Amino acid sequence: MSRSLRILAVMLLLGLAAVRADEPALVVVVNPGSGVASLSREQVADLFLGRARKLPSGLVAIPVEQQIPPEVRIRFYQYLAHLPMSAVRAYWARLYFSGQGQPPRMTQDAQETLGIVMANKGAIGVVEKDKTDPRVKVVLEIRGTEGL
Amino acid sequence: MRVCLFVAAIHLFAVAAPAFAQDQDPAFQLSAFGTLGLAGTDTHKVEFRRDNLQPAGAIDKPLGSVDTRLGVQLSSRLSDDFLATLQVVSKYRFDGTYRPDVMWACVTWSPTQNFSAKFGRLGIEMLPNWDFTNVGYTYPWVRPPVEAFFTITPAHIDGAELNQTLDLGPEASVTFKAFGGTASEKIPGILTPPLDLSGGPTYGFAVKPRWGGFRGRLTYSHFEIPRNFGGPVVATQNYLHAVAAQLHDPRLDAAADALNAKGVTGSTWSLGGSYEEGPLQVQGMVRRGTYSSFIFPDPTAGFFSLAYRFGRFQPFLTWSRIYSPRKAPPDLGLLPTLPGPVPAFMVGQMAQAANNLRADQFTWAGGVRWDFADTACLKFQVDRVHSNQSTGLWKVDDPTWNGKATVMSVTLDFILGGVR
Repeated sequence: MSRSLRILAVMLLLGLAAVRADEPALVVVVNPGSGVASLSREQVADLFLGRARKLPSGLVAIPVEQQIPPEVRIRFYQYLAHLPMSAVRAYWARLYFSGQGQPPRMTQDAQETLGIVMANKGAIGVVEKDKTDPRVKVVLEIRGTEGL
Repeated sequence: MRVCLFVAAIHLFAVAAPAFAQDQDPAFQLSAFGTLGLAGTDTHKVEFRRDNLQPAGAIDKPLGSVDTRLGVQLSSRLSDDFLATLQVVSKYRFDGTYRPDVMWACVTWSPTQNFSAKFGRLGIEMLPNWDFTNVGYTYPWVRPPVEAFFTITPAHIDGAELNQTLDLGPEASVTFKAFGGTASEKIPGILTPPLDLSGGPTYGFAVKPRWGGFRGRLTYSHFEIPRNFGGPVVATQNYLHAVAAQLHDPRLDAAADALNAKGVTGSTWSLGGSYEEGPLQVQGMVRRGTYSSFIFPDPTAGFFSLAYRFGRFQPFLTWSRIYSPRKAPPDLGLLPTLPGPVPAFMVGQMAQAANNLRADQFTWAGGVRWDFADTACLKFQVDRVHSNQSTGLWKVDDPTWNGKATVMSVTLDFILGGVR
C-alpha cells in the first residue's frame, strides 16, 4: 500500500470515529417512584421486546418509544438486540397479530416521552441524554458509540 | 390488467397508511395486514397451490388468489392482565370464495410475568410459526416453503392455550406451551366434497428455548377428523359392502371401512430453529406426520432458509423438501378376481386413494424482499420445483406433466396500525 493510500485510510478511520463519537448518548428513563435504581441491557430489551411485562419492582411496565428523530429508535434497537428496524417491526408484527402482546406506545418526541414517564409510575422510555429532565430517573445510559 | 391492479394497490397503501399511523388508544387498536400477490408458473398442466385449503392454483397465467389475503384486527387492552384480540381474514378458501373467516377471537390473560393463557378461537402452533403464516410482512419469503408447511391440519381451534416461561439467565429462557380444543374449518377434497374438520379434537404442545438471537421450536400436534368423506367415496363404500355380502368376504367390508375419514387421527412432530442477529436470518425445520389411515400419507418434510439484509433489501435462498412413502391399499379380497370393468375400476380407485395425497418433491427458491416503506415491502421470488409425485400439493390437470416447474411470484405485504 502506498504511503498516500495509508494516510487516506487513517484519515477515513479517524473521520469515522469522530462521527461515532458525535452521536448523542441515549438514556433509558423511568419515573422516580417506580422503585427501580438501574437496569441492564438485557432487562431493557426484555421490556421493549415484549418478553417482560413488569419492572423489577413489580409495577406493570409501560414502555414508550419516540418516533422523532428516527435515529433514536434505530440506535436503541441496534444496541438492545442488534436488529435493524425492519426486523424489529417484523418481530412485533408476529407477536401482535398472534395475540401475544402490543408493541411499546409511540410518542412524537422526547418531550412527550418524558411527560408520559413523569405521569406514570410504570412508564419507561428512551430519550437523547441532552433532552432528559431531572424529574425522571436515568436507569441505563447508551453511550454515543454504542448501538452503531 | 392484474399489473394495473397491483400498482393501484400500492397507491392505495400509500394513501391509507397515514390514517392508520395516527397514535391510537392502546385500549382499543384497529389494525390490518395484507398481501397482494401475483403468482404464475411455466406450465398449464398443473396448478400451483399455497396450501391444502385452496381448491385451485396458478398456471401459466399470473393468478392473484394464491397469496392474496387481507386481515383486520381489533385489539383491546381490557386491563393490565387481559388483552382481547379479534382477527378476521379474507383469503381464497375451500369453496373458491374470499368469504372472511374469524381466525382469532380470544382473550389473553397474563396474571404473572411468565405465565399467560388464551381462551377462545386461536391460531395454533401446529408447526413453528404456523400461527402468523397469514401475515406475509413477518417473514422474508413470498410464502412459507410449501413442502414444509403444506399439511392436512387445522390452522386454528376453539379452545385454550397455556404458556409458561422459565428464565434461564441473561437472554436465555424456555417457554412451554400447551393447547387444546376443537378444529373449526373445512379443507377442499380432491375427488370429494370439502372435508369438514369442525369439532375435531385437536391438541398439542411446544417447547421453545431462546438464547440471544437463537430460537428453537419443538412441537407436537394431534387431531382427529370428525366426519366422513361424501360423494364418490360413499358410492365406493356401498359397492364394496354389497360385494362383500355377495361373496361373504369380510376383507371387502374392512376395505370399505378403511375409506372412513371419521376417527382418523393425525400427529405431527416438528423440530425447528431460527437465528437472527444483525442482518443475518437463518431458519429451518423438519417435521414428521403420521396418520392412521391409508388415504393420508405420512410425510417427512423440512426446509432451510438463509436471508441477509443489505439496508432495505433482503435477499433470501430457501431449500425445502417433502417425501411421503407409498402406503398400501387395504386387502381387496376376491374383488380383483371378478370379471368386468366395474371391479377393475374399483381396484384402481382404491390404489389411487392410497396415493392421491402423496408427495415427493423439493424446491429451490430465491428472491428478494424490499422494505420500500416502514410497514410495507415488495417481494419477488422464483421457485424451481422438482417433483416426482405430488398430487397432494399440486392440482394435476394433465398427468403427462414431467414434474418440473418454475413459479414466479411478486407480492406487496403491508401492516397498518398496531406496529410502527
